[in-house]
Amino acid sequence: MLTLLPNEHVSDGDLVRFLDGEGDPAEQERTDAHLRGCQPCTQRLQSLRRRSRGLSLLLAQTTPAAPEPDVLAATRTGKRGQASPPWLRAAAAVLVVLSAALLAEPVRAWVADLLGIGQTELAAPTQPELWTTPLTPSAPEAGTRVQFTPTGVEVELDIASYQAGGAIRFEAGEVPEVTVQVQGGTADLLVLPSGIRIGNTPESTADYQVTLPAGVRQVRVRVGGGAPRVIPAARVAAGERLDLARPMR
Amino acid sequence: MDVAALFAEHHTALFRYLARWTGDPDVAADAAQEAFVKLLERPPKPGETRAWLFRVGTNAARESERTRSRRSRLLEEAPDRAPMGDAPLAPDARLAAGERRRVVQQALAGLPERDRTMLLMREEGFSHREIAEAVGTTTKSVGTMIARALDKLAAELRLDEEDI
Repeated sequence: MLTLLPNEHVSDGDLVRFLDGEGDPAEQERTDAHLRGCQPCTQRLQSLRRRSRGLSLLLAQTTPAAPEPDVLAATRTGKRGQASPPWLRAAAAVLVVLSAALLAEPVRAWVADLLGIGQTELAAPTQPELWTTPLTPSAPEAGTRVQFTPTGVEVELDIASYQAGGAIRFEAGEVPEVTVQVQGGTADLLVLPSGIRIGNTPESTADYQVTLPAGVRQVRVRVGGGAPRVIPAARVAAGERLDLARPMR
Repeated sequence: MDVAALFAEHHTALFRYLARWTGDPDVAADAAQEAFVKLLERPPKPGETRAWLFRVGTNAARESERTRSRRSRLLEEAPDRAPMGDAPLAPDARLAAGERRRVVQQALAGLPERDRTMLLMREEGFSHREIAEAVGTTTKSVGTMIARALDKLAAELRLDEEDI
């Protein structure tokens, strides 16, 4: 929420939010009202707008054309121009089906045997889809849900304190992100380079649903600055539950 | 799941984003293709397809060794493709366009990966929430980081000039 004291200015972040139409109507209106009476903020907004437009223009002028046709594009049913010849559509369909079929273990084994190569050469990539951007700590954000992509195969869960009640429940997910869902309350959720810090309170009775991608091999849970407990992926997949109402053993 | 329809809907934008992100249309084409093949393997939840494709495509591009080698060649390489929607250029104009493209690619490549991702996702119309989820930050941090990234690019690309 944007609240400004006299002589204060709108932050760059809020100006970009205003520019992108990200704030709710009340926030947009407050920013707009401030801008009407503040020349420095208006100039900064104009600068950000000019730079955004300039970048858009340059990108549009310098981005190469998309290649065509493509195997998957060939499966389209002639949305643009002439439809592909039947032989190309058939070949594309076979390739798409083959790509999908290669994901199945028996098919991989059969093809590997046929080609005389190791199965691993045909296997689908086993590395997790991880963004490797080194994360810098973000500002805590009170809320009920946060999603982020881990930077390694271990995720740390740093929980500020034990609670009056509640628990952490783990589950394996199918997307490459870690999701932390707070149920029955809120907490400050701070994404860290190694994982996430949950700023809860001792009075809280909230539960935390933690969903982890397949690439994460273990979670290191620390509550109240105590010794960490390591939860391996197998127990995550089995729906491990940690009680937050008492110190973990 | 109608992959062909999803391809028709998202491929152009995904390729455009990846071409800007990597600076290499070939790597971008491969990464976009890989994202769609993975869509068959591990479809995301309905409503998350677009962000999922961009995420998987970005990961595929990053993994490509060709991306790294391409970055080292940026200074030497002449452009070989015209911008989207443009008619073929005369040699002089093509040289100027190539130089402009090289400067833009170099400026983007000089940004930290997260800043580049944020700017280019914003360019594709993603919300600040989607951008925050993709790069692992909070929604309210996105605007600040975008402003900072624009400032970094402003001098290098002369973004403050009216007639770019």
